[in-house]
Parts: sequence; structure tokens; C-alpha cells
Amino acid sequence: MAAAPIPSKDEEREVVSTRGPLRLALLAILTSLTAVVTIYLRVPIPATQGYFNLGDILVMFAGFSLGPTVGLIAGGVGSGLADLIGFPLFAPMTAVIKGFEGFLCGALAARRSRLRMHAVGGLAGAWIVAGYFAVEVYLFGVGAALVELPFNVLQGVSGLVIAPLLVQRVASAYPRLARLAEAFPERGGKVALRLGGGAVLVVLLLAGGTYGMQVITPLEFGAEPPLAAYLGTPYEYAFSPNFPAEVVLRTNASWLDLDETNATLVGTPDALGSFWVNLTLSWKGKTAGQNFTITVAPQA
Amino acid sequence: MVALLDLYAPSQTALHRLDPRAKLLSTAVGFVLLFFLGAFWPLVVVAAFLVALLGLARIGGRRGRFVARSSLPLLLLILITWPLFSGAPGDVLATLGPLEITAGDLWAAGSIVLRVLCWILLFFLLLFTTRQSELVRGLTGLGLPYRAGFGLALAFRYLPTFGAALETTLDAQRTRGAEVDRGSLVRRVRYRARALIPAIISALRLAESLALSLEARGFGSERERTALRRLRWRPVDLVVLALVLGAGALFLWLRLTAGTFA
Repeated sequence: MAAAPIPSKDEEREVVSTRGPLRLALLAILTSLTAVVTIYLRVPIPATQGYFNLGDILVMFAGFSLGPTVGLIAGGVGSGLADLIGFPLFAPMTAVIKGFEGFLCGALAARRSRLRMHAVGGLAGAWIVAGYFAVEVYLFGVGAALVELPFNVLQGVSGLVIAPLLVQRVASAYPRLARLAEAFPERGGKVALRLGGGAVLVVLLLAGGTYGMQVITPLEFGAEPPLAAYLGTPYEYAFSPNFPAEVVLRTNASWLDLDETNATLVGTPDALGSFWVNLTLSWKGKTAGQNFTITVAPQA
Repeated sequence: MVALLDLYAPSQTALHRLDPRAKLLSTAVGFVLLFFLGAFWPLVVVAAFLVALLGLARIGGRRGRFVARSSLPLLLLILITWPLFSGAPGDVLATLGPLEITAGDLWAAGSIVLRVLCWILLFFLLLFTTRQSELVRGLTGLGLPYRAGFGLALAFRYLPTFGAALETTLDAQRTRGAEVDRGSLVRRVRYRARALIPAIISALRLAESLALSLEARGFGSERERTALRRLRWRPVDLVVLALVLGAGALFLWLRLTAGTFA
């Protein structure tokens, strides 16, 4: 496991550049490297036409080794650049999603234990899976988003498994990494940063999850209509839709009324015979319908 | 496996010479407005217009094939999967278990596919006709701080360098008998991840010497910067920008007040 340190003149070089230029250089170089890794390190998946990329390893590496700022920029701008060159439509959402991934890794686990890095990598991975899913549902529909989902899971998993190992290997082979990280001192408000990052993540995950569930769950009636009614006896059917849907009632039963606030059909039959009822629910592009016939019999 | 690292198609057409600020702003406006455009036939018109612009920019078959190769799978995926979940009203054309495919579903899928296609064409139009250096110049011209723009230019500049370095490492593994594309998924990932260690370390070394050379050139010491090339608005740039903004505003007004093109 422990790779032998590469003997080099790096150890002797004592001139450490002042912070401004070093920060700029590190940010630019890691941004570029993240983009290149995203473009070049593609893993074809056997038996499918698809592939996934190992860019997330670099995004997480940037955060874990050099802190939230580098994670944010290298992750966001670097991954965004990679998309700009191949799939430019994805670039805006990638910049936001991957940027926050790198930021999280830096804010919650920069230069911490490997276990902690793995755990935070898991959080960050969950974030990219949820983030891409939510945006893709909105842009491309549920089906396409579901097809893309496993690829993002693979990318997240590759990052959370490999990135912490990579941090250790690079640090042991290139001990100056720790000195470079000092170019980005974490100022006060470290706790606030972590709590803020964590809170935002939880809220976003919850919102994304809720939204995803809403999109996936079909609109349904919660009950079956009673088909028998009796002359002069109040008829009631609470159809309890699972979403606050808009209801349209079409019927030839003049005595039947729709109580929209309680999602209930009410009325007292004043004539004998069979009455057809067509009830349509619609909510956010989803629809559901019920067709049934109420038979009104004389007083039981 | 040679990936394309710069989409720019060198030429001297009117679109190439258009001010990058105008192109960036127009692309951003187009991107946002497409969210509001959902009607099928207007989307056909927009897509045709964008294809015409690509023709005007003399974008050839090679880049056309690149666009097709990178975006067709996504477009087909949307076309196939959208009807399964859309639940639009209309005549039922087919039933798949609990799912019903209606004529409305197909129209909706067509519209979404066209919209995504328009987005893709819009971005490619910008990237095919604008040098990466011009993009950065445009962004700084629109208010991006100089240091950020410089960093972005650096990132663009090192893409081919790191691309070549990564390829070399992978080739070195292959010549030693590593079968990068054989075996299980884990094995494939592991081979590639190994190439990352030398890549990262050489990149960090490069960053350090880059920082020193930036400092040696007094980077960041001047307050007032001068520039060799400055962007100047030509009348035609302003006219194009005004047309785009005007058409965008008109569309948005119609869309939000009269509800057309929904």
C-alpha cells in the first residue's frame, strides 16, 4: 500500500511561491487536469454502448487534498470545460453539481482521515446522483433520467472508493502536497462552513428526493366509487387523489355535485335509473380518470 | 482514442468575426428562452434557423458528424422514454402493460427532443465559431475579473498538455502488457486510476513552477493593466445583439401575456 516516496529535488527546493500566484496556478492546473481526466479516462461498460468517466475521482481529490476552494473551482469549472468540449448542453448543470461536489469534499473532509474522506465521498456521490437526476427529469423526462442514473452512481462510487486512496498515495509520493494546501488557509467560520455545506446538502437531497418521488409516482385515485345509490338518500364518494390534483366532473346525473376542497362527490338522487360519471384528475402533466355508472334504486 | 480538445472551426465568416461578447450574450439569452418554448412547430423553425446559421458559419461534415455522434443517443433516448411517462391526453395508440401511449405523448416527446436539439445546436454554434481565447476575452469583457479570466485561459492552454501526458501513461501501461479494456469493470477502473498518480504529481510540479514564473514576471503587481488586443463593439455587433435581445423580449412578452408558444 505505502508507495515509496519518489526521491526528487522537490524536498530540497525551499522556495515556496507567495500565495497569490501559487493559488492561481493550482486552481488553473487542477481545473485543466479535471477536465482532461473527465474527457480521457472513460470506462466502457461491457455489453452496453455506454461508458462512464473517472472525472469524479479528480473532483473529490481536489477537495480532499487542497480544500473547498480548489474543490469548487476544479470540480465546477473543470468538469464544465470537459462538457463544453463534448456535450455543451450539460455544461451549466455540471458546473453547479460538480462544483458543489468538490466544495463539499473540501469543506467536510479536507486533510482528514481516510475513513472520513470515504464517508464524505459517499455524501458527495449521493449529491451528484440526486442532482443530475433532478435536472435531467426536468430537461429530458423521467425515462431518460432513469437510464442515466446508473452511470452517475458508478461515477460517484468510483470517486468515493478511489479518491481517498489517491490522496494518500499522492501525499506519500509527493510530500510537498501538504505545503501546497497551505496556500489555501481555511479562515475562521470553518464550523459555519461545514454546517452550512451539510445543511444545504441535506435540504437539496430531501428536495431532490421529494421531487423525484413526485415525478415517478403516478397520479391515482385512492378509492373505488360506490355504484349503488338510493332515491332520496344522500350519496357520497370521497375519491382521495394522492396529489392535490385539479378535478373535472362530467356526468348526466344533474343531482351530483363536486366538492373540490374535500375531493368528494356528493348529492341526493332525485330520479331512478343509471347515470354515467366521468371523473378526470390532472396535476403537473399527469392525468388519471375514472369512468363508472351509478345505478339509483328505489328506497331500500 | 484521440479526443477533440478544441471545437473551434477556423474560418472568417460573419459569425466567426462577431464580437465574442455578443455571441456569449446571445447564447445565454437563447438558452434561457428555450425553457419557455414548448410548441412543436415554432421549435422546428428555431432548429432550422440554427442549422442555417451553422451553414452560414461553413461548419463542415466532420463537425456535423461529431455533433450527431455525441447527441443522437440522448435525443433517441428522450424520444423513446418520454412517451412512457408523460401521460398527455389524446388518442391511445398503444398500451404497454399499465402504460398507455397517446398521440399527445408523441407530440410532447417530439417537442422535448426538438428543444434539446436546439440547445445543443446553440452551444455548438458558439463553440464552433469562437476561439477559446476569444471566449475568455469575451467573458472578461463582460465583467469576469482579470485573474479569473487568466486562470481560465491557463486551464484551456494546458488541456492538450495533460491530455498527451495521460495518453502517454496509458500507452506505457499498454506496451507493458496491460489490457486496459479487458476484464471486469473494477479491473478497467483500476487500470485507469493508476495512471492518475503520475498525472497528478506532474501537474502539481507544473503548478509550482508556473507559480514561480508568474511571480518572476511580476504577475498581479500592476493595478492598471494594458492589453494588446481590446474588444471593440462594431456597429454590426451591436445590431446583432439588439436584434437578439429585441426578438427575445418580444417572444417573452407574447409567451407570458398571450400564452402563445407554450
